[in-house]
Amino acid sequence: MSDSLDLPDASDEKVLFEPSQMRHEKERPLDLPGASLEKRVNCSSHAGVDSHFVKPVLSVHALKKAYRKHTLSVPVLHGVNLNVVPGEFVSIVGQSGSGKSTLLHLIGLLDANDSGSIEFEGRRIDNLPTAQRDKIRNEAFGFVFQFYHLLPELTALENVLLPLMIGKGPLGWMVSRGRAVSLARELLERVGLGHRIDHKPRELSGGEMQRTALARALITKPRLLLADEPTGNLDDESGADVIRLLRTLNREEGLTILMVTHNLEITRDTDRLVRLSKGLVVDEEMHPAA
Amino acid sequence: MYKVLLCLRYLQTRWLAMICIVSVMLGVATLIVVNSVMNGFSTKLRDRLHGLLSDIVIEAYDYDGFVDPKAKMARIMADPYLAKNIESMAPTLEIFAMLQYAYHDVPFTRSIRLIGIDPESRAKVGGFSEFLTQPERKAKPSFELSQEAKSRQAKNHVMDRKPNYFQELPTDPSAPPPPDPPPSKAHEPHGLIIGHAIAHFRDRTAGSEGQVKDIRALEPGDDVIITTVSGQKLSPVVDRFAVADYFRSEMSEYDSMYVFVPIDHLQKLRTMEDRVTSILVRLKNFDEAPGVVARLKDVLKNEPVEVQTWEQKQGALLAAIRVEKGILNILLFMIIGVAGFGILAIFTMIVAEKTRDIGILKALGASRFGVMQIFLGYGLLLGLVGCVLGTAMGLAITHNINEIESFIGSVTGQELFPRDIYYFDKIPTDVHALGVLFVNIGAVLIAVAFSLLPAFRAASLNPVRALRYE
Repeated sequence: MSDSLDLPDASDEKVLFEPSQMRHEKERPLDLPGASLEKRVNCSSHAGVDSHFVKPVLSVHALKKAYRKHTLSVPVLHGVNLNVVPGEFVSIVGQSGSGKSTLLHLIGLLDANDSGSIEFEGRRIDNLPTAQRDKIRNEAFGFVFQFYHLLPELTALENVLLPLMIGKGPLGWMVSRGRAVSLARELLERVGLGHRIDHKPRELSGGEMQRTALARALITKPRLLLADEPTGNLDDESGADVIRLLRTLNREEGLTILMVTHNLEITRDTDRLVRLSKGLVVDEEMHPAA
Repeated sequence: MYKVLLCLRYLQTRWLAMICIVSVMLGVATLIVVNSVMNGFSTKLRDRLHGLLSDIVIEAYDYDGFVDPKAKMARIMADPYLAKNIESMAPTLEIFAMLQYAYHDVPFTRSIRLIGIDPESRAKVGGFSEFLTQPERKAKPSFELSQEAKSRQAKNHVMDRKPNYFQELPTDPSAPPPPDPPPSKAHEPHGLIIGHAIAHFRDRTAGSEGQVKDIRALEPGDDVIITTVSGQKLSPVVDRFAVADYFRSEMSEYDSMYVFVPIDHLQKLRTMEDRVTSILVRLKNFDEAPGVVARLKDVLKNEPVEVQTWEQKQGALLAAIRVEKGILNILLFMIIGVAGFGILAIFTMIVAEKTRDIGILKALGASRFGVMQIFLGYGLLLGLVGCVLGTAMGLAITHNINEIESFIGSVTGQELFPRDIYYFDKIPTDVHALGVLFVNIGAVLIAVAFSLLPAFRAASLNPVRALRYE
């Protein structure tokens, strides 16, 4: 199945990376955090503009989606275009019902679009078979949700290891388990939860759960981190911690991040703000200081 | 690997799963106990039937029997194949009769099956000497009275005492009593071996905790009168016998009906000299029975006899036992079926409860089949744990069933296992490993089958809807 998928290999060596080696050197056209002019030009949501400069890691073309129940159809996205270049930290804002979460779910292959296309690393992914979509979600994408979505039966460490367990067969897991556990511990240390690895989610605070979820999202060395209201359920201080972590990952590791939020305050730390209204991109705003 | 981890965690954390395990456990334990007890009864019944009938029976079509059994046995043994496979043979003469005896001067009359045998040859075909009660007679079966029995016999001359209970009742109460019949010719009575239940009364109130006590009505050496028929006109004949020993096969039907007497004497009584009603055949290896039966039919093809294995002869009874066991198993498997519906209901609840977790797993890249496997594995795990516990429980109950029966009897005052029905001292049990295995496999399959629907439902959940599930 994976043969037909022209994606960078997420082999053991790659999965069991050192966090300090998370740079996507080949994919990074620019030195962050400089966010030079070229990068900003490439950040245009208008597909094709200056694409000869830097190839976008994610391209969304005329994406449409409507939710249906019986004969009732509720259009949510009316033809969204969006490009994200490697190493970019993009925030999507909009009012409730503007379609920002739907857009994120479609990009994350959690839902199916009605029309349009989604390209990831130059290859269309929205029409792939289920197994390949599952594989991309597991290996290439990292997810951070508003409500953390940790499995309550598992400890913080096991939650972080979960994507690797899913991605590997029993034998592969047995072989790489030791290194995977070391990596998970290291990630938890990095998000400040080294002392909480054996705690169940119910024993963690909201901020700690979100940082655990972030460590889980990073364990497979994702090439795109999708964050859906990551601070929406946190107090200001915890929210700021999470955003700081995301910004650090973006700057130091070159991690490409697409974040949906309704909190304009936190978007100041992102490279670009995309405003969505009634299922369309209506405005974009660069943050040179970010 | 995440599937195993989640299955184990769900098992540890969902108390609802315990209900599924207990349901499967009770179903499996019940099936094992019931099957073991039924197997015990069945095995004992088969052993007794097999023993009493030997391997093959050459039987006359009617009570007139067939002539010259010795010549027939000689012809049979002249056949090399039969001679190679037959261990021994014993001719028997069987007829219904009436038996009378006195207990504390009260007359008792019973119908019996009177069987004439040669004790030694009958012992060789099996199912006889091992059921005699006197140890020395088990080793060397005979109708000879023991010294003690002879002494008692000498004091006890039922016929000579002419007790009034053998006189006919007067039709006219005012009429003078009829003259006494001429005394029978005094002779040393032949010994007989009498069914244990004929010679004993059961006192169900004598013992405690469901135990029964046998009260002996006939001691060795006591006289009994046997009346049967003789000649073509079936004229009544009466003779006196003395009890030599008891026959206790623990089969109520036999112990309450069978009376063994010397075959030559019975032949004379019935005026059936040199005639018998059957020849019992014991084989060296019962697996050869079909071949031997076929050859016997060939050798005796012009004779008025029927040749059957003991299983063919008891076919209806054995088939009834098989059918009964099969139906009982189906009914009992319904218990596990009920447990299966419990699993279905509880799993449906668990899937609803775990909807968001399923969404998370899918978001992290778990496949539909992977999610399905979690719940199928969970069902399998519940089934396996239930089976292990149920098997342990079932075997423990089976092993201690008599103690449990005694305890329940003492608590409730109800005898669960009436020993006067079967003449068994204990509830027989026989655990068949293969049967236990089948029960376990069936239970696990049911547990997995009833997990299928919830597992499929979990696998089909849309990840976005699952993540938004409240």
